[in-house]
Amino acid sequence: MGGQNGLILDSVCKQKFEELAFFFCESQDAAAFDYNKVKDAHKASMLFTGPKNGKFEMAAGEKLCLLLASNMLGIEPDDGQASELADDALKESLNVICGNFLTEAYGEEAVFSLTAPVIGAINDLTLIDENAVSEDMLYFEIEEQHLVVKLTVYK
Amino acid sequence: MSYNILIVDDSQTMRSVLVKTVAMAGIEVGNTFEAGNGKEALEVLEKEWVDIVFADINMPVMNGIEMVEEMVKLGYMESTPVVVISTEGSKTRLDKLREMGVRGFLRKPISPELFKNVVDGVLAGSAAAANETKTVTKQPGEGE
Repeated sequence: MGGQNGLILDSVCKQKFEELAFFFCESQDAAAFDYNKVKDAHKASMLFTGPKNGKFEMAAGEKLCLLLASNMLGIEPDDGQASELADDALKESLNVICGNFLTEAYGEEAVFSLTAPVIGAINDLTLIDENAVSEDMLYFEIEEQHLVVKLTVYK
Repeated sequence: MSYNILIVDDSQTMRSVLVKTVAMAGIEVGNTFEAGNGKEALEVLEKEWVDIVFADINMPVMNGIEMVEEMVKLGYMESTPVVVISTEGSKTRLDKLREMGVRGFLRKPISPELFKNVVDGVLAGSAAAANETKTVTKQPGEGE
């Protein structure tokens, strides 16, 4: 986790995951985190443009996506609807994190345009983007599952 | 009185959450219509009577702002209150939507309590406006 953006993102993730899905996120030490733990994860990403341009990415394993969908919907994780909406719940969570972070970080006067979140193949989020002005990657443990959130800010 | 509601959000999870939140808020619902973007919502509005619209902003195909702009052009805003439910926190953008006639705003993730307060206020405002219109259009000497 880096500077001010990382601190704001950490706070937004913890608060919004609790409100969205009753998840209590435990921050993990970035240096000690084994990225292979989310190698086979689902990944959602979205872009934002405005006073700052950038990208949000979120990776979570199958079990965590199921828990996310079931908690948001108030159903059991083994309910077919949770499985059907697991990716959709991950996308919506990213949308909530992104929108709330941008207001917290840049204020209520800033106007941003967001793309709709998309589900994509997992990339190695530890790779450094040479075009980035800053990168912040957070690791959380939720219900013994792993979640990674990455914010890349361009010029 | 029961209300026909239209939920506009590209996330099916969010649409399902909103259906449950409406029920938890004790709002009596007639028909529930769902749309995945603004374009689909306008198609519903063209065919069906809708008492209140709950709309996201950030959607593919036609976003919530474009949808409201179309609703203004089509003259739907006076008769059909819109409550925006999104992650939008920009005061500038929310002020613009308010000027276009959007009646209420809720920020995701929504709490059922706040949802009920906002929606009750919007529906009460609509009922008052409808009564006012009836009073204004009543002819002199016409009884109650």
